[in-house]
Amino acid sequence: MLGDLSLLTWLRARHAWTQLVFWMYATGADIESGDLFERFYELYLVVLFSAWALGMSIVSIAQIGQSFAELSAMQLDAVRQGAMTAPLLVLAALFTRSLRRSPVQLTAPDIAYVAATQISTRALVAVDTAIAVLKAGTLGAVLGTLFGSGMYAAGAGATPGAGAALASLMAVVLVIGARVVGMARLTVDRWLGQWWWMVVWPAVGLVVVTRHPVLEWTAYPILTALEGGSLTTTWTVLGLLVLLETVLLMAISPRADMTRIIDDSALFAELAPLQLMRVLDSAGYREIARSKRRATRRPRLHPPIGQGEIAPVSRAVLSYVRQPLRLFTPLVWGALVVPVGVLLLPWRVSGFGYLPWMAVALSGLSAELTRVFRDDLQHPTIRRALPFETLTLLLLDSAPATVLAAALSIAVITVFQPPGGDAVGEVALAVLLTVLAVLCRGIGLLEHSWTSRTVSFQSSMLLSLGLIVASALLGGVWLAVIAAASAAWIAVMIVRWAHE
Amino acid sequence: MQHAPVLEVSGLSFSYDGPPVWAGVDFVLARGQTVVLIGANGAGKSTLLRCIAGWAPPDSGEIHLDGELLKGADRGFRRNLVLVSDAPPFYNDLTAEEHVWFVLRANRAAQREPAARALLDKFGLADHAAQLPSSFSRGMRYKLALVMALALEPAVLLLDEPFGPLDPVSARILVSELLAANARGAAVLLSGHHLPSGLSPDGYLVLEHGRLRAAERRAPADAAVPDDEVEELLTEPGAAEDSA
Repeated sequence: MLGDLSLLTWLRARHAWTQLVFWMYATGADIESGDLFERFYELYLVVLFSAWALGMSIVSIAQIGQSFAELSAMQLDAVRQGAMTAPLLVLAALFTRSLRRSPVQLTAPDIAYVAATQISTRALVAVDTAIAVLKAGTLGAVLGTLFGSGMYAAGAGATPGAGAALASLMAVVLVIGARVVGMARLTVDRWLGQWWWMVVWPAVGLVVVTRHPVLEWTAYPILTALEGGSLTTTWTVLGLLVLLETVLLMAISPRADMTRIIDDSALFAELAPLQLMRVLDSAGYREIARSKRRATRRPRLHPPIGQGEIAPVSRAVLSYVRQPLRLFTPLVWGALVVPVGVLLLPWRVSGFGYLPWMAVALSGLSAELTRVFRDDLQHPTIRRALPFETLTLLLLDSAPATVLAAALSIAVITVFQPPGGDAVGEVALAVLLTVLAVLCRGIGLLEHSWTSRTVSFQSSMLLSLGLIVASALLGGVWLAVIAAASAAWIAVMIVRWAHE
Repeated sequence: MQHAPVLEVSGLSFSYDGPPVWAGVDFVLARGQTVVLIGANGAGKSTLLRCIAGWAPPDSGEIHLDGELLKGADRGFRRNLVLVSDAPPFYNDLTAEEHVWFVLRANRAAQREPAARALLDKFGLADHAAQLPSSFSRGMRYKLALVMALALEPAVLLLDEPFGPLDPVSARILVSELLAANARGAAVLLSGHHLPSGLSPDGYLVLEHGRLRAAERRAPADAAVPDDEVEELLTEPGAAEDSA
């Protein structure tokens, strides 16, 4: 056991060092170099970042203290209630996660060289839990300091130091407790735990709504701190809990099924090499994670695929049938963004009044309208096999999401039509806005010979919206419709001339 | 002792999310045997090897190693049942020799370090031992994984497509190492379609249409395996129906 512990500690320390070296490169420092100048530069960085961290901490604590001091009695009570609910919510989240997948997650090399060797499960769980405890304890300490400072400034509660220590210890109790439950699941039959969240979350909701005493039990340390109770008792209780949980965890872990730990880690192992991408391109990372998760499931529902021009449309429909959640943003676009923009017209809000709406219209909410087209472009093997011109493919691929969004806009505008409004003009404008969004998204995905680069969606859409809004302000809804149609026609021409 | 069973698989079945990839898999591997697992692309050869090695949980069935029923919680068998996957992963911050060092210690086999060094040398990796495997070619990465597996001298060695990434010289070295392992009493189960000259398997396991059937060697036992023997086994009309 001790040999395994030291071996695993060496391995994890090595990983941590590699991470440190990598992130230090981002600051221009090479901590593996023995150069004296490097050492001075590193010292400078340490001083700089320490000063920054200290300054930020002081400012944050002061800011929170001031904000809490200004709270009314009712607001302070709401904060107190929120703080009391937090431990139960964290407990439920950690426990349900532990019941759904192994608390110990392994990378592909971990599977080959740790799980598939004689290293004891107890040592593996101990080292992994120590790392998790370190992270949770630190996070708890930071949050505890901030909350403690606020409550202290508001005249209710213990000192920030006590808040930090209590929150840190509570986080450790919750993390180890969840691991005990997770490892226990891995010692019994597979069916246990997969659907527990369906029981846990409604139960948590019931406890919160009815203010059941369970809420006070889970928030016991916070209550003690806020109400000036005996902190010594709290320390003792939390300390004993940590000890009890640790003993339980160490007793259970050797009986955990390593094959199931490996199986539970499959997705993590595939995604682990992409952790940097998660930071730099979170959307791309989510897309890869989604596709890997999908690959583990058998495709269900098999709507027919049509021939000719119908084929790309039915392929797009199929994509939404199998991933219905992807329709969320087109729904928001069609039911909210477009109708709000169009229905604002009769009131003739000032040009500046349109700015918040334009910011929303330029956001990523319309990206899903052309996602299928984007997928086709990103897979040259598939794209080359599709005998359609760029513009045709863009319109066919985007047809299902566009039709849905446009239909929703028409319905919402019809229902919420204000008296004296021009329903026909507004409906036409709504449809054109969605078509324009599709075309501008298309422009953003293509290369243009006149710029020898891409033109972002935001640029083309901003120009179009500027023209439409100006026309609406000058001549009403029908001038806006003409402007939108003209912008759409120009966008069509640009897409036609563009290269993939 | 040489022909005593070392690995017994019975009633094994596996599915991802739907119908089984394969089911009712039964076979016995004896000490000192080399058996080749063949099957069309996607037949589930890698999955079967992963299940046997305890890297994937089967839906049903049992695996016995040296007469002992394997359970996921057991750690002792891991050193005696070693899998080299078709694309072995490596830590991106450990050098080749650090990988070997770590794996030997993790398996309580530090005394095998000289043997591991000799294997590194045989496979032409000695000069690259201080490098990170991320700088290696696919073949070098596979050879490093082989070094770690062979150095442990397991009772059963599972190799997924071992000859695909290897050059002819390395393939010949591997064949001689496998023969040496057989001579020590180790059983080898390897998957692949293109087998190098010199490899003389004791038999085949053919995975097709979700079923596994055993097939004898057709060529004389001391003859090198022609690739068309593998092809013949895979294209035999009604082979699957016969076994079912």
